[in-house]
Amino acid sequence: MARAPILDIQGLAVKFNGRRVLKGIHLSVEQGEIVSLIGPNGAGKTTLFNAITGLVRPSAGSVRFCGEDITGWPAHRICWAGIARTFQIARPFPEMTAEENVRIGIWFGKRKKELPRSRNTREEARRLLHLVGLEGKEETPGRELTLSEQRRLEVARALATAPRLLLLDEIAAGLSPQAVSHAARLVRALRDQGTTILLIDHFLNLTARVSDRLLALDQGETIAEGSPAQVLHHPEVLSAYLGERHPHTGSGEIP
Amino acid sequence: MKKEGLRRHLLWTLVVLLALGLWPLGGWHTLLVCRVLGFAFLFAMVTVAWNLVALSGLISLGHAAYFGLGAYAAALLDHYSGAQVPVTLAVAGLSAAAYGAVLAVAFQRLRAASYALATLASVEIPKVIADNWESFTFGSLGLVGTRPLPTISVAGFAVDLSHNIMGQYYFLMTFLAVACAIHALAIHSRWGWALRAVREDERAAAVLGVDVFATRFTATVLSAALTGVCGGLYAHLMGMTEPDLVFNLHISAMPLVFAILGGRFRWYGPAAGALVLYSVDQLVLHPWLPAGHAAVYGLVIMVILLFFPKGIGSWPAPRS
Repeated sequence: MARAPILDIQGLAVKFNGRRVLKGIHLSVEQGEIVSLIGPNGAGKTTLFNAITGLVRPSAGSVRFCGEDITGWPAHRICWAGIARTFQIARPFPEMTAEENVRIGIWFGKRKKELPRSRNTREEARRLLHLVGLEGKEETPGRELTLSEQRRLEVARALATAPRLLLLDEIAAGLSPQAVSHAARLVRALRDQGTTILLIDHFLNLTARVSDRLLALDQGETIAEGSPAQVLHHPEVLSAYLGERHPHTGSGEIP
Repeated sequence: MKKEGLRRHLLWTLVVLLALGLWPLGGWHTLLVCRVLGFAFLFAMVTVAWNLVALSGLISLGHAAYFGLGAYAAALLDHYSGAQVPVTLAVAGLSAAAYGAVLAVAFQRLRAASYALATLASVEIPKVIADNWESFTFGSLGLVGTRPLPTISVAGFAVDLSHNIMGQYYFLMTFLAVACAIHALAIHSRWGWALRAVREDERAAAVLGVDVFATRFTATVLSAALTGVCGGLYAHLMGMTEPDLVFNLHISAMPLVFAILGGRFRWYGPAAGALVLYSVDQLVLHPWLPAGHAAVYGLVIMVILLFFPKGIGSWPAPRS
């Protein structure tokens, strides 16, 4: 008998102004898995992340995390429960230094009473910045970091909340081949430490290298699910990527 | 904060506190200056309270609602029950806090200009009630004869806070000190970091575990309570409370001007802005230019904004 999944999504739907942007997604992720979400722009990948992390309210369906129904919880409680995420368009706290950005995650990522007293948050923040390759940038304000540095800061900040499930939104987009390798190593290392990972990877930079399983979305629906080889050669996935049936622009990021 | 900066910071604080605390004892002060500075302390407290909300990233244009509610609560309680001043002040703070709590819930989805406009409109509800419920509030005539501040005993000396202007000066200064202490917490405590995260990026703060609503709610209710107490103090100091006086747009706009000119992100900024600008306006510009003081006041504001874009509070800080 299989273990209970760490994340179990049933029939999740999201509406914006009457338009259905997610139409009943089912997804279950096992502890320690790396699952990638792929699909063209507007497929609903980021919306799915927003619905899991409490930034948008689902119109139907449920999200269970570690057996607990977290559907409709406010974002901070979902973070306390152990889900962290990055944003595709990085959202650093602009006036805080990189280190302070990370320390916010350390201080607030868990309920106050669950936080260990008298720990060295400064050292912990520096360790996380080092992990994502931001050593030497500790004192740089968020707004002065380059875009790729801001994206790495997103990862360090999410890790600061000590998540059991980490949602990474396009962390490898636009990176150099070496940087993609670094990101892939980081993702695998995190999984080896016990973190379950859900990736959005529109450009398929990381997917084939790290994923155990893929879920392909198009226009708010699942069109294929399975191993990377199966999904990447699935006819509907090929036509969704190559067919250019989606003239509307935008990244799927909800303002 | 760097150690060097901290030392300098404490030194400045001490100098200003000693100057404000000791100069009236020198014997060469005038009652006018004491009286004006007393009111400057009161309006500085409103400014500090206003900034608590601003630190959460929202600009309120409706603090006259809390001020007026506080003033009316104190004046009405005094008129109908004859309650002692500490009681009237507490009720003033609580009434304003209750209104602040309602608004914090009602306006939780509003941001930026919509929030500012909604708060501006929120002044009208209590004002219209105070203006029209003549059998209870005496309408636009308002309440007169509110009891003055009482005589208190300090280390064995009786100090009449209504006639002893110096006593009044220190009394109001104490209130301001409390407000400044709360304001310092709103910048340097864990809650202060939550406010800062919410102000800089609300969605990022939320997914990192910051309870955005609770953080803002606390700031709004505390801010309203402090402003309500100021309204109550005003009612006792002036002895009269009229709708046009205490629900005045000027009271909503004043903290915005003082706080931005003083520097919103330092614990002493809003208070410093209020003390300097209010005193300069009342003690220098009014007597010197009875007709044109408003124009010069405007000029002072513009010059400060040009030369100290982060407020005059940024001046004693080390250059970076």
